[in-house]
Amino acid sequence: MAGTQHLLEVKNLTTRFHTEDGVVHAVNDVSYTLNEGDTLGVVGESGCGKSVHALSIMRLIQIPPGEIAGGEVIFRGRDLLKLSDDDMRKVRGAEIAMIFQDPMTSLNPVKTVGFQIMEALMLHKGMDKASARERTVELLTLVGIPEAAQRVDDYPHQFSGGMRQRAMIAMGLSCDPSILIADEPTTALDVTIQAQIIDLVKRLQHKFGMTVIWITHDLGVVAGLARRVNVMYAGRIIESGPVKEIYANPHHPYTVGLLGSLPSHGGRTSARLFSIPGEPPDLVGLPPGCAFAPRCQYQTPRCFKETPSLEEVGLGHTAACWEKDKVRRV
Amino acid sequence: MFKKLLWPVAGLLIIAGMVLAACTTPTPEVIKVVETVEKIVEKEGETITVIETKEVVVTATPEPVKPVEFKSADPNTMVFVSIGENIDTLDPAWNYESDGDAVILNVYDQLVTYKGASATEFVPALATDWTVSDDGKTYTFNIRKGVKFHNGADLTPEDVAYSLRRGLLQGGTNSPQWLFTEPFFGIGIYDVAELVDPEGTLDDDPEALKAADPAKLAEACQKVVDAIQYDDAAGTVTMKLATPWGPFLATLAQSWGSILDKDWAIENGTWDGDCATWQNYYGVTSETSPIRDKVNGTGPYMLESWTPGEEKVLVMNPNWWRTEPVDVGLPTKPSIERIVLKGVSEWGTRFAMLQAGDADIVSVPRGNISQVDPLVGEWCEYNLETAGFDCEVKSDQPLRLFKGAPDVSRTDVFFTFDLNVEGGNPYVGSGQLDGNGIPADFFNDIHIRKAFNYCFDFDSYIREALAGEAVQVSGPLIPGMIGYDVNGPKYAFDMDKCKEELQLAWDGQVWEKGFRLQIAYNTGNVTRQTIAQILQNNFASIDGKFRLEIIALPWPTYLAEFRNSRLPVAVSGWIEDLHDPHNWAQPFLIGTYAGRQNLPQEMWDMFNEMVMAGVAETDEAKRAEIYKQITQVDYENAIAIRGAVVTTRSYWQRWMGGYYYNPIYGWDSRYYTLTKQ
Amino acid sequence: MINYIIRRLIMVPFLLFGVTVLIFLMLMALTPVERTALYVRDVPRNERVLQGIIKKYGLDKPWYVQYWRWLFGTTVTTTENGVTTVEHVGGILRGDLGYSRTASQPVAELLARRFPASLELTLYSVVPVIAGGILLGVIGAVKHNKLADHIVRIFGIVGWSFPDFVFGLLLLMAFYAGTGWFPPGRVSDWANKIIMSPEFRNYTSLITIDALLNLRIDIFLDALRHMVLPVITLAYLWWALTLRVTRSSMLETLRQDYITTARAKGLSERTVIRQHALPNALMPVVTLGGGTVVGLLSGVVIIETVYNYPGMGAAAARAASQLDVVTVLAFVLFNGLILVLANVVVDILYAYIDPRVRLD
Repeated sequence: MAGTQHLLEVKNLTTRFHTEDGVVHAVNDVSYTLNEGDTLGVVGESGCGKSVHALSIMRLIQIPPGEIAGGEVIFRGRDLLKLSDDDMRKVRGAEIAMIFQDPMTSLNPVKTVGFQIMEALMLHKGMDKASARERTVELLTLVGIPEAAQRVDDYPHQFSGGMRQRAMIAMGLSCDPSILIADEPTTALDVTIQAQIIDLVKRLQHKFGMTVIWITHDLGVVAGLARRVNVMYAGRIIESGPVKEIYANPHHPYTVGLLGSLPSHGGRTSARLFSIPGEPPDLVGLPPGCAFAPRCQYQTPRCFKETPSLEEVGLGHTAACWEKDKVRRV
Repeated sequence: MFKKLLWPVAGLLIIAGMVLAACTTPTPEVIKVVETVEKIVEKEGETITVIETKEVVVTATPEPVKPVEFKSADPNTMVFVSIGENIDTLDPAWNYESDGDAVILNVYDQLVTYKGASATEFVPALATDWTVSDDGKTYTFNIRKGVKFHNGADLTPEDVAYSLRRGLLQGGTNSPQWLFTEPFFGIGIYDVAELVDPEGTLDDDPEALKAADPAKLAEACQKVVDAIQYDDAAGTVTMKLATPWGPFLATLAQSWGSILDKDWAIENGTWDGDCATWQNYYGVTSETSPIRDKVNGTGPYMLESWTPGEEKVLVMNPNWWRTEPVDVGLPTKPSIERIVLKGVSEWGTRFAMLQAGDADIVSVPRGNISQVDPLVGEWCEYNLETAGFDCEVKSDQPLRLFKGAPDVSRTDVFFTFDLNVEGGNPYVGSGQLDGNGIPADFFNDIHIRKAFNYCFDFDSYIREALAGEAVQVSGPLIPGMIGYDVNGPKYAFDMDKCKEELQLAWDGQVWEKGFRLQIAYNTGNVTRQTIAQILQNNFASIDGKFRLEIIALPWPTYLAEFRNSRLPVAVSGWIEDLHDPHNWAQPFLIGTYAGRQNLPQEMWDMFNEMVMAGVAETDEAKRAEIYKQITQVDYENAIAIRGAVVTTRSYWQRWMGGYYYNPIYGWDSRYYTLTKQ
Repeated sequence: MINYIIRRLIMVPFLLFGVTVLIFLMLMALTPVERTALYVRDVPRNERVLQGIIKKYGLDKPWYVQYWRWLFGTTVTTTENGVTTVEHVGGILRGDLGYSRTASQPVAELLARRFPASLELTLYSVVPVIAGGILLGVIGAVKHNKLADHIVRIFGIVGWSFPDFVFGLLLLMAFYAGTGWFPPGRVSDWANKIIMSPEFRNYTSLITIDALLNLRIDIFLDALRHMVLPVITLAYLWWALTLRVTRSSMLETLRQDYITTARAKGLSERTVIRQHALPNALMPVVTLGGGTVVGLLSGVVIIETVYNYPGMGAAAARAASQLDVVTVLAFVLFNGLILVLANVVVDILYAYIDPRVRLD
């Protein structure tokens, strides 16, 4: 496993957005560590801050209206948040790569796929055009795109959805980054393709020993892929731990709810899908206390006054809930 | 790599280049300025010394002014900027526009020309002298020798004869040729086609003419040939008129009397001079005439280029024949090398060109004079009696203003005798003299007509409608022509006399009962509307029962009603074709307007006799007398209110000199007299 | 790509045909009398003569016959004094567009004189107008809501709102009336004299190019000098349009996901804008650019009037104001042609920039 130094340490990361309607507290005091070779899943509903926290790590937040209000992101001993723009650019793509949800909109429609991969290679690896092209073809083949040598000159719209995402992955991998952040890469794909992509990533990860952060709202996906998972809600990590542990023994009512709302694989098909009652909170005027309290079946008056912090509930397993001991998987 | 920056950088470079280009003002080619020198010419024992002057020329009473301090950037080129350049044709036989005259009169010469600023006296041009037979019907001209056309050919009497014959035979009722057909073939003949068919059915119809009886065609041509004969050996041209014609020399002196080179014209496709073919060249229109855009004259300037819609350029003819000036103090050779006549439609731009010194004269619309006046340093006022300008330097501003010279149009108020009331007439009210209308013959009573004249406030009219820049005229003529008397009789505004006349009118019935009628003008014409308002107010101020209602009619309606003698009082105007008293007397007393006014037969007969006498009289002094009589009779009969002639303004750079005003030419100068420093 | 271009080019004759049919229909709305001006220089007022001309050129024949004749001309046989002459007159495809009453010359000659002037002005205006507008728009978008953006937007609005003749006259007053630096017109009189003389060869009718080809730098500079103010006026007024479209298009493009992807790859902001944002943002600008060029080529009346520049706009406006239908229709036809061709060029440019377009 990892050495004593973590590959990535996120400490108290806080990101806010200043909008006309007020200040949106998108990421609140997020902390975790990542070791080399880890696969971390980050799970939560839309708006829980999972994507924003990743973008914050990459410093891809538009400032203004965004603001990384506090915290540290220590990568290989350096705080990324304190780097100059130039230095950060050297990190992006080369050391930490990110791929995105919708490959149709995430790839430039007027540039060939090959170009889009080659430019990273030429930038970070200093390759000339010919070598970059060669390498690109290799990468495309690696991710399972047939006839890569011809397709390298094709445009994104000439690829199918799954192929596009593979190309995106190739792009992400091209410069041999240490960390690959995948922001919901399979959400826009149908289930069968989804499986293929997940498979691909797993294989590549094994092959290259990459560290992966996989962001998704789908617990099922996480189960097949990650070893550890952070569950986020309202900009905070509310539960964190090994996947199996969390699935077997969730200690946060939200996690329970998430697990319960999974369509059961191989269970009684006639059972109604459970959904968590209530709505996600408005991140602008977050009241004190636990953000989940209004929707929680275990709520107590304390929950509305004091914000719970992450506390150990098992080996490497933490949860942020005043009633965590009472929480049982349904 | 810097592809994105390339465009804006390139654009900036181009702009920078343009700015640089501007800083290097172009050096025009340096050309020697041609200076005229004293010339001593012997003619018939007299010695005439001609000196080139650089001063403003005022014919009668010259006053020295000092333009010496004003220097232009390019003294070799004069630029005249008007509102537009769009003449139809440069064929002298066809051109009927004053814009065309501006060029034709400077590139072609005629047999005679006017003596300086005089509109009544003639001096030799291409004819050295001439005689008129006692019956006034035969003119014999001695043609000048040694004159060359611009293409180097020599002027011969044959050229003279050809030019006039060709013009007549080309015909066209929209051309000025009718001014020749009447004297040559008889009053009432307006086109050569009428020599073939007097009914006029062949007018403007070349196809039909060509199909006419060849014998008749040949005969018509022969008439023309016989009327204008030449003798190269003797060096003369003899013209035989059908009737004595006072305006004849004036007609010859105009642009349509220009002389062409026969060989050149034929080379370019005009009539070959043969009576067997003339019908093939008849009715050639203004745009299809082969010499429409070509010029080969004997004049002081040559046409270098004509770009329709933009400009015309004339260049000096160094071989111009003139050795005697047309009047004392005027030069005999042109001094400005190039004349550019430009059309710029936007006033702001013209003004900028004036300020920048790129324009020497520009057209200034009346509404913009207040913008230009502050730049005028020298004010020249026209003196009607001396026919010259009195100039005064008031400041160092760069412009000179010539003002007060009368224009050649006039607006009158016409009374209709014996109104046409068939089918009802809305303008006469009740149609009876009952205070609520007027009878059809209302204006037959001279007292009414005089009352209208006395009740018209001329000064107020001139001041308000014409911005004070107009002169009231005496009689049907306008100032500056034979027979016009500056001190002739005219009505002055007099409310008392107006009342008197009203009391006398219709045996007192008018004074007792009052009247009501409508006075018409054409919609949009503010001047005419103002005239109507003045009359209305003045009558109303005498008594409310004298009611004039003002009605605006759309132009076609207005014209139709006027032509049909249905308007009791109509305000209308006339611009002259020819600066000759006949061109005014005829339409106003016996022609167009007389017809519309429905003059009583006796009155018409009286006028007709006098007008016919005037046109046939060739002795100038006698002619002048006849027209003075006409003016007197017109005044006594008060058949209309004779209005005012607008005076003009012309703004020049003070480095220009040599201008004189002749009403014939108006503001189109004879460029050869102009100088530029 | 080649296929696409070929397909587009094949469409051109059909489009042109369509334009001519449309113009012809407008022409047919005139009476035969009015249409005689297409064949005869001076329309006679005499009724009989008129009818003769109408018969001679077949102006009362069925419309398809007339359309044919309008395109290809008529053969006219005349017999005079026993001599029979057969001549072929008219036909817009033979270059005879009729006679212009207001311009006192055949319409074809008028176009041949005016179009090069407009073309020249366009050539020198296109780069400043379009490139300048794009540059400003990109600045505005990239510095969104900062001071630079506000300045750019205000600049654009003022330019768009300013009446062009007022601006033009102001420029004339400032840079010409007092100083004579940038005169109105196309060239100075001394230069014109040289250009009209036989020694000067008119290769292209574009004075600046011809001047260089004739090795007359002084004429070249003189012509440029005359174009400075018109180009500045045009640019200032038209920048706003290009600027706004570029800016809003750019803003929208910058919001796209692929921009984030590009940044995530570690590309510099400049590269992101240039390589990724601009090609996408410029697509609406290409259409606009095409329209701008067409507009410039058809003539900009007010600029031409204020600066006395003898271009297409002033000629067309004068013809229109005096109801010179023949000339107006000829201009409409010509401008229609330019429009068709410009659209083809725009389409091809589109396909060049956006590969998705090449599919259809």
